[in-house]
Amino acid sequence: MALHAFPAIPPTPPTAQTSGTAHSAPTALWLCCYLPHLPLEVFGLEDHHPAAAWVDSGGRSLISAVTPAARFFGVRPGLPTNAALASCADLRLYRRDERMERETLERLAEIGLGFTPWISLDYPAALLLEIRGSLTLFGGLESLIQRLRAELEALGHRAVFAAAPAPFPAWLMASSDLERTLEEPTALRSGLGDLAIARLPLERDTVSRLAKAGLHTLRDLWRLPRDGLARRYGLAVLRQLDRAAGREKEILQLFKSPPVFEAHRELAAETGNLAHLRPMCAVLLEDLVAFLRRHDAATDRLELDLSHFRRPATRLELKLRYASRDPERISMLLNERLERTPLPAAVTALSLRCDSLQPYRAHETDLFAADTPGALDWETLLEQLQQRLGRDALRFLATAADHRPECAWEWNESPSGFALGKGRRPLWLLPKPRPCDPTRYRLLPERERIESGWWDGAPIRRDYCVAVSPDGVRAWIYQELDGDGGWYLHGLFA
Amino acid sequence: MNRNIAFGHALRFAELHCLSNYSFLRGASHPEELVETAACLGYAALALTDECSLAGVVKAHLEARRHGLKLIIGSEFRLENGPKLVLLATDREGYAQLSGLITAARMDAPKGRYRLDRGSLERHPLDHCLALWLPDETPEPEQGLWLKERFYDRLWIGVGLFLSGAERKRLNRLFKLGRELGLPLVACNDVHMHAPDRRPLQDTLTAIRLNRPLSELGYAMFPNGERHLRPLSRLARLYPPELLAETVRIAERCRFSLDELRYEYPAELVPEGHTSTSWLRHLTEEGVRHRWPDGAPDKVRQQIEHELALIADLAYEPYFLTIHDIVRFARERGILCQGRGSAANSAVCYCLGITEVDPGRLDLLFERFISRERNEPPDIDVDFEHERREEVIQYIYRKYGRQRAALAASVITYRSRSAVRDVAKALGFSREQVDHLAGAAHFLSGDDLDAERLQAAGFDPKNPKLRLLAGLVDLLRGFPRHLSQHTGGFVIAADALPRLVPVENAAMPERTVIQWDKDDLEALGLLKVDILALGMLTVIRKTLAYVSDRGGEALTLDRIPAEDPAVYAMLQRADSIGVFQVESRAQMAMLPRLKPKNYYDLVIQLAIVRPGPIQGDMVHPYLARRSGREPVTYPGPEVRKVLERTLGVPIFQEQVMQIAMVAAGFTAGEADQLRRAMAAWHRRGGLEKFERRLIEGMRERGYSAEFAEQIYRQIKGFGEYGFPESHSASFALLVYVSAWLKCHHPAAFTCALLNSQPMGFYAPAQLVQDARRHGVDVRPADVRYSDYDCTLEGPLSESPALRLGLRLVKGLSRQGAESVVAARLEQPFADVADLIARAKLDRRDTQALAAADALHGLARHRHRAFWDVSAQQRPTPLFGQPVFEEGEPLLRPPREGENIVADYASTGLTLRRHPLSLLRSRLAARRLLSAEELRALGHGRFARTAGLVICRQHPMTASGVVFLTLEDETGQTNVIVWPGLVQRQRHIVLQAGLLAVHGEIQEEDGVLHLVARRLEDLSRWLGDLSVPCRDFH
Repeated sequence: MALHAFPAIPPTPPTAQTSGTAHSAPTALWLCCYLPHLPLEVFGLEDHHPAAAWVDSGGRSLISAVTPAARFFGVRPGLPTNAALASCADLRLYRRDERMERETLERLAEIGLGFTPWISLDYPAALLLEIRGSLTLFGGLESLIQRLRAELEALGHRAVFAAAPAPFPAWLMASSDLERTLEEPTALRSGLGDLAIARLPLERDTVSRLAKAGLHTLRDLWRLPRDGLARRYGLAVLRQLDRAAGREKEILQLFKSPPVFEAHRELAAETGNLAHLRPMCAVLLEDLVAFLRRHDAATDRLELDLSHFRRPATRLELKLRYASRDPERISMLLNERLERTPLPAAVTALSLRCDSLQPYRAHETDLFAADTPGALDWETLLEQLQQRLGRDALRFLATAADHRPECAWEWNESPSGFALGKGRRPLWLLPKPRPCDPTRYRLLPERERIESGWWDGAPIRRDYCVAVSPDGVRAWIYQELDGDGGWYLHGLFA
Repeated sequence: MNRNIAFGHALRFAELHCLSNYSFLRGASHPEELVETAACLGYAALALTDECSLAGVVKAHLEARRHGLKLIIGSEFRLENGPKLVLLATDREGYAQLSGLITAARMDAPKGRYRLDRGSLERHPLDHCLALWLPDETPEPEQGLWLKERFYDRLWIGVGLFLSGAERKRLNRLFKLGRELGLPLVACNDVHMHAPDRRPLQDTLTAIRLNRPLSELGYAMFPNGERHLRPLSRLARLYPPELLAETVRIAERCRFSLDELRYEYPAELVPEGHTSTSWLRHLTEEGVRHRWPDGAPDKVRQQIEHELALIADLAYEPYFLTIHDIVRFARERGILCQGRGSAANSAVCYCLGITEVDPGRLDLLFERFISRERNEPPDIDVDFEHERREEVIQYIYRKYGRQRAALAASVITYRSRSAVRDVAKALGFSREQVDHLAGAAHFLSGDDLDAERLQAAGFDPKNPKLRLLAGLVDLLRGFPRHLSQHTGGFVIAADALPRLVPVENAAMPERTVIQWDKDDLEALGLLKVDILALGMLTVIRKTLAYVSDRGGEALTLDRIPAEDPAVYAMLQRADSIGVFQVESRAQMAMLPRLKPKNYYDLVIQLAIVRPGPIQGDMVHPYLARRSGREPVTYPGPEVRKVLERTLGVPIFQEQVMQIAMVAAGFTAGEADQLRRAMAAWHRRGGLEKFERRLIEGMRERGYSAEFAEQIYRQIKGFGEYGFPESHSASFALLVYVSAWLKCHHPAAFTCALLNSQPMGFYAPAQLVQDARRHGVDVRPADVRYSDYDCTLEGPLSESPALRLGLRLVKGLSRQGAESVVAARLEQPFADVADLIARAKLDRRDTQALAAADALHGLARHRHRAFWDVSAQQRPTPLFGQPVFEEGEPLLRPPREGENIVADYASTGLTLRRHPLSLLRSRLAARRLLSAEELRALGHGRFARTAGLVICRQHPMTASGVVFLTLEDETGQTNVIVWPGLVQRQRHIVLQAGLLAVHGEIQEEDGVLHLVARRLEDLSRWLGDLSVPCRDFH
């Protein structure tokens, strides 16, 4: 029987009560796990190496995060990279990779799912976990944090933990490097009084204008008349203050593991006969297609495991040239592969797994295929050829703009346009020039001199000419201008 | 083969299409290299045909003269949607036509580009030019026909053969085309480099030009290196003989040489009935009567006659008249100005009012006037008040018109850093690597890469790409990149300037530059007038005005008494902040040692603290002789005459030149060549050939080898920074005047300095502190009292107080400041809201005023001021400024430290306590001494101190030494950081705002330095206190 495995997602989102409601129900407790060094941790950098991540800011490269060793040399976030290099010549520079950071956070969120189902990645560089319900299970907040910290550290991540009845104050404390727990909503105002206004997500200009009036901490703001504050510095300030005090309801987007399709089928009897395996595959594929439809997705990669008795399973990896959920197409390709895969023993069971989901695009449906059969045939043919011969065996020939004849063409993964140089070129170029005796040829008078390629370690300096051999074949030969001045045969004209 | 070579010898050939590196990022050779190679290969002539440019022709011309090669002047053009062609000048008129066409094409496009189409070519007369049509891959006969209509029998089809593999076909096609159109063919080789080994550089230039790495250039680069000057024998094998012979026929028709250019002076300065000679005499005599109402002394009279005769001989009158006219204009407008330079210190210039250096007051000074045999154009630079120089420039444009006046060019060349950057990009290094490499540029020079440093920067010195980079950078360094405008060198012509040299747009709107730089002008004997800007003249004029406004009687320059002992006493104490020139650290260190007592001592003081005397080891001997510790001796009697005024020690550039003549037997002409070589050797080298000649010449005449070596070292030291006595003499006058003003009117002098910023060596903070040390009452910027400028206030009977102006408030617009002042004049401000409403200030201005604490009189303290100005609303037309009733906010007044930080951030200075006095107890706990305590310790003692870094200098003469000036509440400390320590603690040296220094005290003649052994960055103690620091390189 096919079986779809999902991580358990609670049927209802968590109701994170805030102090705004006077219910006696236990208030939510949000744990923020803030990763201050994430931009560098994704590169696996160590503290004692001067290294920094940089970002592209309007055409300038600016430092965005630095290791302690780099900080020692005076490298600070915001510095242009060349200024940073002027302070520390040994500095290693990495372009900041926000996609990788996001992926890392998602991986860490999977770990968090072991502690609570309610996790959000809505705040930058942080996991937010609602853990009120998990406290008893993990023996209290302290020990929960300890366990989570240990799991993160094992993966090379250092986190700052703080907990509060609402996500925002928790994140505010953790991102201010404040490891603190404020369980009661009423404790928030006094507990956060020392935090810098600069930590609030306000316009930089607003923060600096506040600082100029001597206003640096949340407490400074809480002492001022609200109307006067709003008139001078805008409503955003009040809103952030209320958020910090837990007075504003927040709805977070919950993290979900990406869906994975996994299905397994035991065979009634062992068999090595493909004719028996094919229908089984077809059933699995049907389930897969149904799964893909449900997620409005297509796939470009799947794995089929064929189990054997007391032997490691045979694994087929199927890569598609473009994502699809057409059962016929996938089935045809899978069968191609099956036919070419030798089976070491009889098969006892089949498992199909697919974790690469792509957004489904309508133009791949067969609806249009009928109108442009030629185009689709061509693609399908290429795909079939690639499946049969292997991806590396099928490549496309293209020209490359280079004066050196041997560099003037290249292999491509996909077909590309043609651009030719001016010179006269033979159709067939020898894989390697072969020494030859020019006296055996009749040389045509015109010479073509090619001197190029000095920059990449393959320089040439040659005089080419067209030569006619005694048996009337027109050849392309050249004389080296450097070294021994020897003559070589390089190609033949049709 | 043999026959070919023999034929090659008989062959005569002229290259008619050749680009130098003045076709920026195309040509890969200097003009000189091209000329030299063409001469060596036996070419009959060479045409330099840079693309729409004549910027390289003078350099080529000089080199061609040296080799006896015929140089043809031409230029290459690509017309928009039209043919590409080369134009060659046949005679002076043809040259003028060519230069005019380039000017028109350049003026029609933004800086650095040109625009030429068929229409503009048709409009332009070119009947004295020859044209080579360079057809494209597929020639369009229509282009040929159109050109033929323009040029008739002065048009050829230019054929270039570069071993492309399909040349017979092309040649046949062009022959056919020639027959059809009735046009002869001629060989021309599109030369881009003088030798084939420049091919990598030429490819690299293409990559830089197209902003693509070499690996992606593809067919955009040439397939081979054939576009160089090829030997005649090879050309003979490539081209049909008639095509080569035709080159010589064309060359023979081009008879123009740059030597024919004669500078014609503007004539309108001479009134009817006068010749230029008689008019100059008239003006000079007028000046004599003004300068010496009782008649000039005999000596001066003799000198005037001598000079006038010489000027008339060389026909330089119009030059003097031109400068006189400019100076007269400035005087009429009340703009202070002063001439300097060799000719400026002549008696005639003194009479004409160009300079104030009295020839009667100094004798030996003017030997290097204009020399008859050298035929060297006179050199006069005129300094004007820096804030009003533009008026003078606009006067010149107005008087002579843009057709006749333009600025000289200054050729911007590749330096190591820029070369590394561009070449590394072309070689495909990543952006970070390019940054890395540019930082390591100076390790990448020549064959011996600094392996260790490159490794440290993360590069493998054995990496072949790095070798390529180093080699290419070496070649590219010194290549011209673009033309920029010279600081103030004007060329003024009698008629249209474009007939003399092409004129193009400068980066500044409404400015035009010619395509030649000052070396080119000098080489051709063309005159330029240097209109320079000098901040100190502004300061002097303003000080005089401030003093006059408060005093009963107007103070003018001629009322300043000469040789006031109080002034010299002040200078001897090195109390010279703000004084012209001698305020720099090095000058200040020299003052107590040299102890100037009179004007001529100042002339020496200015010249001695320069690379020349320092590298020639002349400083210590001079000081020793001056203080009587060493006897005054002379190496010989001829030299005595030259060196007597400087106690036997050569200090001035003129003296060294004279020594070369009297002691080494140089002729005047040779000495002049030496002077030019001196000015250029840093860039081009070429001084070595004089070394042997000089040293041997002196040995032969009985001078010691030691003395000779010393003179040679000094010559090298003068280099580009040569400071001749003639300049020193003019500058010394300004030193004296500014010192006198500082000594007697410190408040007015500081006020003028502050109102002329940015200028000088010190920031406003140091100027204000210095004024307060001299007892000036300095008051803060305040909207209730301040004007835009700083002002003097207080009763006239007392010495004035200095009120800081709103101009010091960072971020405040001038318009905002002025409307504050205007609104205040109507009625004093009631409160901040009143100020904002009546002065109609925008948010930026009010924030700036609050930040500067200029509102403290209305808002009590800075925090409250910000709170108040933040409530500002745009007044509505109907209700005016809305009024809100608000509770009193609970705002904490700023602490002293916060105020100090904010003062610095907004105005760059504070009138409160020095920030270090707040830190003193913490500093003392670390046993860090104050500047004052340091002075109490003696020479050789180890000590530690800390201070704000207010000045950082890396003089080029000091090979990596960094000089720091630290400041605390008790004064300043000079710190010397040797290169070793700079390398070890580089980031601290470059970045620290508050620095602790452990080191050894060195004291000599009352001048104290701390030689650093260890540095510590204490900047974090300052919080975010940003102290303005001036970095000098």
